[in-house]
Amino acid sequence: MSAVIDNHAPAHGHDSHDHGDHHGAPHGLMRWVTTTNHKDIGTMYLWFSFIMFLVGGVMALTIRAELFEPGLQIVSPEFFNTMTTYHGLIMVFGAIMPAFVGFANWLIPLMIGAPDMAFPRMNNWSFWLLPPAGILLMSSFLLPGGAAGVGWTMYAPLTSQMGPGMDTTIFAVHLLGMSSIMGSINIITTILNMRAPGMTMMKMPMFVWTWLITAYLLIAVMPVLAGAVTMTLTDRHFGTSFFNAAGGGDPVLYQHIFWFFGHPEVYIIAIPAFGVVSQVIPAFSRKPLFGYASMVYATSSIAILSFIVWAHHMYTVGMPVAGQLYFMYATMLIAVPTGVKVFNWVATMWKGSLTFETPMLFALGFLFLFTLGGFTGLVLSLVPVDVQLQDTYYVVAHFHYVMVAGALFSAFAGVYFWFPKWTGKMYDEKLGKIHFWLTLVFFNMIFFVQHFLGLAGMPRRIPDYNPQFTEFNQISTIGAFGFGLSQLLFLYILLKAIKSGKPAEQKQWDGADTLEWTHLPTPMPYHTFENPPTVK
Amino acid sequence: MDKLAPVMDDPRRKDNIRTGIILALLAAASFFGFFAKVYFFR
Amino acid sequence: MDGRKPGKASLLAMVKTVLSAFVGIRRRSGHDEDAVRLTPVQIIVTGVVAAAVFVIGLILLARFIISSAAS
Repeated sequence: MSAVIDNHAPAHGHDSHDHGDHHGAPHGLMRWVTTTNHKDIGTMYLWFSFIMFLVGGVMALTIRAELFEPGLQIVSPEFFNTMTTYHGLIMVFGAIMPAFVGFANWLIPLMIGAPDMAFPRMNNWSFWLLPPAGILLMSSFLLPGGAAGVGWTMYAPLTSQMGPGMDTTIFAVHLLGMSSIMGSINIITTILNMRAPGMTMMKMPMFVWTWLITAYLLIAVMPVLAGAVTMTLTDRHFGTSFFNAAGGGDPVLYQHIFWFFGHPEVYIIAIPAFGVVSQVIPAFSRKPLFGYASMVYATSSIAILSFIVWAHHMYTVGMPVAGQLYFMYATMLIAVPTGVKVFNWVATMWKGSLTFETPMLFALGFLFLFTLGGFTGLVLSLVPVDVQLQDTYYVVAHFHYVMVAGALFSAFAGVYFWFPKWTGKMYDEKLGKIHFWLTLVFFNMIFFVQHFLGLAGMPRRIPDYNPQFTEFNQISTIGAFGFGLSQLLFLYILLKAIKSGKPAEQKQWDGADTLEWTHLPTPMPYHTFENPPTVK
Repeated sequence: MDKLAPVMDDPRRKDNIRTGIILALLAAASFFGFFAKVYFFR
Repeated sequence: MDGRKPGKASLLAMVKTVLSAFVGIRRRSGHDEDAVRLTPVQIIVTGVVAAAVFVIGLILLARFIISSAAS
C-alpha cells in the first residue's frame, strides 16, 4: 500500500488570504461557470462531449432512418445533406475531441503529480468556448436557407453557394479551433513544466506521452483549418478568390489545405485513444506496458508521418501518377509504426494474468476493430482500389471502424476505468458488460455490412439508392437504432453509479500503477498534489 | 469564486508563461505562415 | 553512465535512433543510452531531416517507376 500524500498541508504559505478553506468544492451553478479546477473542467468537457454525442447520434439515426428503404420517405434531400454534414462536424469536433481533452484535464495533472493545469483560467476559457460554438453550430438550422449541406469537409465551391448557415458554421469552427489550441498550449506547458520531482519524461505514463504529441499536432494543424475556413469566409463575403474558379481561384487548393489539416486530425483523435488503451491493457494484464520506449518513438513517428500523406484523401481529384504513387507508398509505410503499437498491446497481454472487466472489454474491442479499420485503410491506400471505392460506403465503413471502434470504444474504456477514481463510486459491472456487448454487436451490425454495400458500389452521402442495396441497408439501420439505445443504457449506468454506486477503493484495479491510483485517496480531495509527490 | 488553483503562486509560474507564449507564437506562425503561403504562392 | 555528456553522440548513433523511431522498434537499453547522449534538439533536427530524406526518396522512387514504365 502506497503512502497517501497529505493534501491539507498549506502550500507555499499563502493560506492566510484564502479564508482558510479550500478543501471542498464551492456550491451552486457559479462553481461550474467560474471554476479553474482541472477536475471540474475535465468533468464538464466529458459531459459536454456526451451531450454532443447524443445530438450527433440523433442526426445519424435520421440518416439511417431515411436509408431504411430506397426512395424518399422522411426527410428532403437537402435536409439529408445537412444531417451528414453536422453529424460529422459534431462527432469530430464536439464529441470525440472534447472527450479526450476531458480525459487530459482530469488525468494529466494527477499522473505527473501537478497541482493543476499550468494555466487554470485559460483552461476555463477553453471549455466555455465550446457551448457557444455548439449553439452557433445548431443555430444554423434556424437561419434562412437552413444549415449548410456541404459535408463535414466543407469543400469549395459548395461552400460559396450556401446561405448564412455556412457562416455560423465557419465561426463555430473558429471557436472550436481556438478552444483546441488553448487546450493544447495548456497541456504541453503542464507536461513540460509541472512534473513532480523525479518524474522524468521517460517515466511518464503512456497516456501523458500521447497527449504531449497530440497537443503538438493540434498546434500545428488547427491554425491551418482556421486559415482554410477563414479563406472560405473571405471568398464568400469579401471578394477574394482563393477557391473560386470564376475569380481565378482553385477549388482543389481547398482540398489540399483541408486534408493537410484533416489527416493529422485523424491522428489527433486516434493517438489519445492509443494512450487510454495503453493504460487500460497493462492494468488488466497485471504487467507493465510492453516496449514502452518503442511505443513513445512509434507514436512520435506516426505524428511526423501524418503530415506527409494527406493527398491519399483526394486520389481522384486529378494529380500526376507520380503524385499518386508517392502518397500511396507513404500511406502504406505509415502502417508500420501503427502495427508496432498493436503488436506491443498484444505482447503486453502475453502471459499476463488477465481479467475482463468492462474497461478491458472495451480496450479489447478497440484492439480488434481498430485493427480491422486500419486494414481497410490499407486497402483504400492503393490507388487503383481507391479509384473504385472512393465515395462509396466502403469508405464510410472504414473510417467508422477507426472513429467509433477506435476512439469511442477507447473513450468508453477510459470512462469505466477512471470512473471509480473520479467519483468515488463503483458502476454496476454487470450492466457495464451488457453495455459493451450490445455496443459491440450493434456496431458491427451497422458498419460491417457497409463494407459490402461499398464494394457493390453504393455511393455515400445520398438519401436514395438502388433497390438491390435494400437488405444490407435495413440491417445497418436496425443496428444503428440498437446502438443508439445502448448508449442510453450507458447514461443510466453512469447516473445509477453516481446516485447509489458502492464506494470504490483507492486502487480499484489492482494492476493500475499510475500516481492517481497509488498516491491519492478515493474519493479524491478537490485539490490534489499541492505538495508534489516524489517519484522514485 | 473558488480559490484559484494553487499553480497561480507556483514558483514555476514564470516558466509556464514563457512556454505558453512560445507555443502561442508557434500557433500564430502556423496560421499566418499558411495564409501567406496560399496568398503569395498558392 | 560513464560520464558522457549530452551532445557527444556520433551522427550515426543519432540517425540510428531516429530510424528505429520511424519503424517503432527500440530496445530499452538502446533508449537508455540515447537518453544520456542525445539532446532533444538533436533528435528533432535529425527527425525532420530524416523525414525530408524519406519524402525525397519516395518521390524519386515514384518517378523512377513512372519513367521505366513509359519506355
